Amino acid sequence: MADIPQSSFIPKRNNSTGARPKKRYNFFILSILSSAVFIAAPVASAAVFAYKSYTERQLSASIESLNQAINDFSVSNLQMIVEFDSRLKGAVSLLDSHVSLATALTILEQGTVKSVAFADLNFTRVDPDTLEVTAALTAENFDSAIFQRELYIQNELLASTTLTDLVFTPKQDAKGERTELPEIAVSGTFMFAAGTIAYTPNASSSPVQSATSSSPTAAGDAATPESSLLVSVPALEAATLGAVSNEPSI
Amino acid sequence: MMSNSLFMQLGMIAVAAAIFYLYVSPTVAAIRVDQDAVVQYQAEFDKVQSVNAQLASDVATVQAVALDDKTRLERYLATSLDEVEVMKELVKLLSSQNLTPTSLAYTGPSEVIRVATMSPSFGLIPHEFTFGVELSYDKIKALLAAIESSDYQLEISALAVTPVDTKIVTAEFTLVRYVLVPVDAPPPEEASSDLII
Repeated sequence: MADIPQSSFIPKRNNSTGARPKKRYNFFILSILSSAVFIAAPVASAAVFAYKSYTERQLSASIESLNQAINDFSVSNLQMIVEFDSRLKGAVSLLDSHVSLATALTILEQGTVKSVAFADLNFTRVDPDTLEVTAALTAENFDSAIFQRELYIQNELLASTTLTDLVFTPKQDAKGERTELPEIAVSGTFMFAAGTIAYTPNASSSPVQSATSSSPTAAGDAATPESSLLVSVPALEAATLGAVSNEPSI
Repeated sequence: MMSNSLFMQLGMIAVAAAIFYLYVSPTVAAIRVDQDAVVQYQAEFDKVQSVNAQLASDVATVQAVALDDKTRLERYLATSLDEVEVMKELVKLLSSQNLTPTSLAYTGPSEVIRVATMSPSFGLIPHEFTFGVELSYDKIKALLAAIESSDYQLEISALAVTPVDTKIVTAEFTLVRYVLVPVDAPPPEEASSDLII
């Protein structure tokens, strides 16, 4: 065989080797990637479909549980509890503001000297904390009136007493005849704080006191059922308004 | 092999992307919404359960109160008033003190009083009764004590004592009996402004 004439000392490039294998490698990666993505898409679809079904079942179960819990809530029981609680607190409030006029009379009796008399008495409950007593007082003379005023000032229960409209009527009139009327007439106003003359019932004779204080106490509980109820019902009412009526709207 | 075709591979990627974009992504978003809803419903369920448990506990507490005590409490603060019955009780009370009223009248109800400690859905209506009686001063205190310790809730709101002669006085009593009534719950500002007791 005749040799190929060498016209150059630079060797000719062999056409069988070159960049072509590298192109095949890139195409191979793309092929794997596309195949992987193409397989992953339906697999992911199936997975999310299954998980969505699961969460939907979970949601349905939650809604059912909530509805069941709401249905279990008894409005009539709540009304019964709130009414009992209100009645109990109303009774306690009335008992707390209950004053004894007999006690007020006793205080007035004990704080008034014999030479001073009450011509009339008017008791008025001006507010739940105050009892006002207005009286027309008569005194035999100025000395009695002054002495009485000092006694009222010194008596801490009657220290707020005000004496006004003092009228002096002389024992002898212009004609020199003696009258039977006392010389001094004065208006008095006595203010009693409700706490000072609070009614203190005898536990055995007051049915309401026993009704609001008797305690079918649970074993180990220091608080009575009523006292615990006083605390829990407002919270229950508030919680009811918040929890039962605020069903989430989705 | 088909996948060797560049267009086919690009097509596969496009189909996969479309599946992700059109189904997987919205479904994941929907799952997230459902999960949030489940959490919210669970929280509400817990609240309702807590209220139910508290209610059951309170019902048990009320049921534990003796029936006799409940009856007496209901008599002390009733939900209705029979004015004839009250007047009859007053006459009976006066009779027990050997007294006869010179006058006795039911004046009527006043406006609802809201008590701070009570539920805003309940209030008290004061019903006023007046009676006059002539008696000695010594008997006034006994009568006052009898009224104050009565089984019935009777508050003396006013008393006027006027002498008739040296031994006898006229006493004009104004008594109030409160009745528990359900009322429309006022707004909080109003409720706090007219607290009387």
